[in-house]
Amino acid sequence: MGNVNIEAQWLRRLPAGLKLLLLAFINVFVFLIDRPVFLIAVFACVVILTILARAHGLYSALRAPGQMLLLAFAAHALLGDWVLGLTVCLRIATLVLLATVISASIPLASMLAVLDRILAPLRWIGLPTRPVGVAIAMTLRFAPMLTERWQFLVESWRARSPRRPLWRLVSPFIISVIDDADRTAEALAARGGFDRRK
Amino acid sequence: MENTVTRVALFAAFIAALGLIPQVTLPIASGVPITAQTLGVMLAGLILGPWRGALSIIVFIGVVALGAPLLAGGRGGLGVFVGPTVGFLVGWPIAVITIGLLFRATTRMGVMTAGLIASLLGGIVVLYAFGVIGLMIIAKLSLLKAVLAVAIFIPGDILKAILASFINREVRRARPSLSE
Repeated sequence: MGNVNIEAQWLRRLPAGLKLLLLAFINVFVFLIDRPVFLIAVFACVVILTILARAHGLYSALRAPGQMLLLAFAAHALLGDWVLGLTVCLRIATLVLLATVISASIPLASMLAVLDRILAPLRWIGLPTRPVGVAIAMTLRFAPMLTERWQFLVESWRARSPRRPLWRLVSPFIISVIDDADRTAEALAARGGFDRRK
Repeated sequence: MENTVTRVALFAAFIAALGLIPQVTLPIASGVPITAQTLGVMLAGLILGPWRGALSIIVFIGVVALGAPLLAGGRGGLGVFVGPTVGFLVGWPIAVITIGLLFRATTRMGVMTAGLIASLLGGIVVLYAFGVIGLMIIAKLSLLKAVLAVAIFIPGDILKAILASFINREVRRARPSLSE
């Protein structure tokens, strides 16, 4: 899949919060300027950062938005306003590239820590934030599990029928995973669940 | 509460897993990838209902924002929120709420019909409205061009709406407790 890896240690070691703040700042900044010259300069800086960061896997991750940008530029150029096209495309290219590199340089655990800090105000007004963290962790655990369950159903089908399975398996698949989710809920509740008394 | 969290996580993971199915990204359609994920979005609204369904979409988008390459074509990270398809991402939770509410409102017309009406209106009309507006704002395309860029996906999505309402009927038949 389009997993981007960052090799440069210095970028990985910078605090996650700082990098995300920088990203947010540049995001606003890029929309404030509309002189192509400045946008080219910002874009060049981001490209240099990407080279310094020694990112791998960028091509497969960015091919689709790249094609889209070329098309959008072509559409604007055909209509005669190629400067507008250049401005729009440079903006998107800068932001997509920077956001991809920065999020690839932050490990999941640090991202979760930042999320926890962002959600802190909810805790102050008494809303529980633990279910949010649990739901996210559970999603990451469920995703590969679902693929395994699907493969399992496909194999059982193949053992019994020469025909191809595909859509016939979707309903039993969903019913079985909903049952799984409900059993997981029972297990959570049995272990104290989201009871706020600790 | 526990039940809500696990079902929400399950559908978030389901939409994620659908994104891992190999896809075609059509260059002629402005790099918007053909995705089975719309099917997951429709099912989340039909099976979980409007609010839990919307929560599962928000959790899924949250996981993508945390950097998991789970969007169709292996995209992920914060880059997708400034990319041309952001309109569809913003539209997802609203589409799910529409689907869930419409399904509830029309259930007496029969589960299959209600599911189809809800998926077509919510999963196509509402979702594409957001997608098109997103393309117009981010890529500064005209309304007509933005509509043309996404029109190629509509036949596939009509097929997904039919599939989603069929699956919803089967699942509800097998687990009547979902309709309570």
